[in-house]
Amino acid sequence: MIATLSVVERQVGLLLSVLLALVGLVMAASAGYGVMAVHGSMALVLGIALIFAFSGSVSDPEPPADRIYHYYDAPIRFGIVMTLIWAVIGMAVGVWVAALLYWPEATPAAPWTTFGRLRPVHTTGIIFGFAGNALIATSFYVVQRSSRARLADAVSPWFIMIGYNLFSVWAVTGYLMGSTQSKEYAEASWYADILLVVVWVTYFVLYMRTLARRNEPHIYVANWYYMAFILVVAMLHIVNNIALPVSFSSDQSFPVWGGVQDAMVQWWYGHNAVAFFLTAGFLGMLYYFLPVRSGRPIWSYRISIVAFWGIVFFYIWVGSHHLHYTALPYWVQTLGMTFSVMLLVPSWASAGNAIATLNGAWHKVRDDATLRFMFVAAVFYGLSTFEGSFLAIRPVNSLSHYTDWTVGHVHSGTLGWVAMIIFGAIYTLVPNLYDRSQMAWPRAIDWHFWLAVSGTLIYVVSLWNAGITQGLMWRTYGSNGSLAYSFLQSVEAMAPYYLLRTIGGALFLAGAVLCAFNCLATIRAAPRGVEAIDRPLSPQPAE
Amino acid sequence: MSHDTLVAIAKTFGLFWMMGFFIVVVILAFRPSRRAAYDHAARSILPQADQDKGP
Repeated sequence: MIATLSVVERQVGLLLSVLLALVGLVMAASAGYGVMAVHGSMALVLGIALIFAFSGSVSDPEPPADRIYHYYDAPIRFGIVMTLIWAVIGMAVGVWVAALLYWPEATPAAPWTTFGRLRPVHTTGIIFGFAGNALIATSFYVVQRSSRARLADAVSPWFIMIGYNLFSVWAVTGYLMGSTQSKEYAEASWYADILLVVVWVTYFVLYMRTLARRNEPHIYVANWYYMAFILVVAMLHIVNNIALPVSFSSDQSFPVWGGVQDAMVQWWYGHNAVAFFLTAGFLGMLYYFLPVRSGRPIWSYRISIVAFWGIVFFYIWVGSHHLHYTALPYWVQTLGMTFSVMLLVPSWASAGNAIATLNGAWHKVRDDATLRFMFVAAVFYGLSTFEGSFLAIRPVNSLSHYTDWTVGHVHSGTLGWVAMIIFGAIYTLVPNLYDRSQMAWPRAIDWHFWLAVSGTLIYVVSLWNAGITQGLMWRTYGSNGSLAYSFLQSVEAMAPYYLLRTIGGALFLAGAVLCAFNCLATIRAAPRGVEAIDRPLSPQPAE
Repeated sequence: MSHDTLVAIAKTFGLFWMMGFFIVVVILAFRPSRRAAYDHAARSILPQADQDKGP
């Protein structure tokens, strides 16, 4: 990191490190003990480590003057490594909690090992750690290549990467210590939320400044999707996390929203986290890496634009489908349901556009496992958006809600769509960023592909069975009008499905571990001080 | 704001807002004069060799 910074930038970095250490010190000292003190100490230690790193090299020679003629890839390399680390952590915790559902008696007698604390570690580790790092890293790559411009400055990408990962570490360690806001996918404490706001605004500003320096007349559509992701996630995160701390020396806080309004805000956030974190950004990834990998332009650029506005306009309304049959007014539920069904049109337009792009290049899909990851991602995107629209219909939801069908649906999206497109992007990016013609172990990509596909299918199919079985058992009445099954009987009926989902998850995890080692081997084979091999940057803006 | 007010807004302004925006986007995306620009944009991310080939 530091060798790529100029002397002035190192001084700014040193200043920011001092600030981080001070914030950590104040947090730790004012809290005294408990979660916030531990988190303050983490920030203090990180700040001090960075102070040492910067102060030891502040007077080192300047980086080569021609660096402005190259893309700035060092933060991307860091982001890819963090993506892989979080993938292994998040998926391993996921497999572990899946196994706990099958062997609950295996829970060790320590509070931090309970299902309730580990489950948000899995969801946050995957959504923020794995998917978030992948999104930030690939967005830096895509915005530079598609704009033919270097990132607007060298300090803020590092501020974003380090700040974002500090947020993620604060979040998951907080859950292990029993700290939570009790909002799904927004469990992190109030001070971690503030850190994420600062990081996210910096991210947005950097992205806009880089686009403003572009040397292409048109902003390529992938950037639109990434911009929607950055802008809307900022909006969702801020509104859903408005909370009053119990005191400034405590991690506890109360949300300002109450009752059904809080539920609506939470699920407006929750479903749009799916929409703009787990969909819009990844469509940006798809619209860049699929054409590049297949060597074919997107089938219809125009449909990609119409689908963009369709997704942006429809998704924002669908959150209330999480609150069918609740105290939420009936018409609000109907509104969410209607928009969920309409959303199928732009979703399938994108999925179809991706598959039509590959039409005529099927031999490449057959031979290239990396492209196959992207193809499967597009197929699962189409499948899970269809399933989502279907589950949002009120009578269908009465069968599926509170069952494992929902969990299966989420995993068809996250394993089949999000993770597949990330792996496709990683296998495209890593050789390119490290000046290799291909990954160190090309055959391991094939192995990873089949592990991932079979793991996803086993997982999703077993939870379809589990969810529909649960839903039917809960609504079966005997001849005298009483429920035919007790709740416990429906839990016992889950055993075979929970075992299968653990196996499916383990297969998927095995593939991810293989990917991490494959990337490690590729990185180790790279010469030092390497530059990416690809299209040149235009130093002069095209007026 | 009452439910009736909201319904009235949705059925008047909301309709024109959503349909109007949709029609504007479709016109902007599909008008024939933009064909060359979008074709160029779609190929702009590919290496030079692939850009010269047909779809």
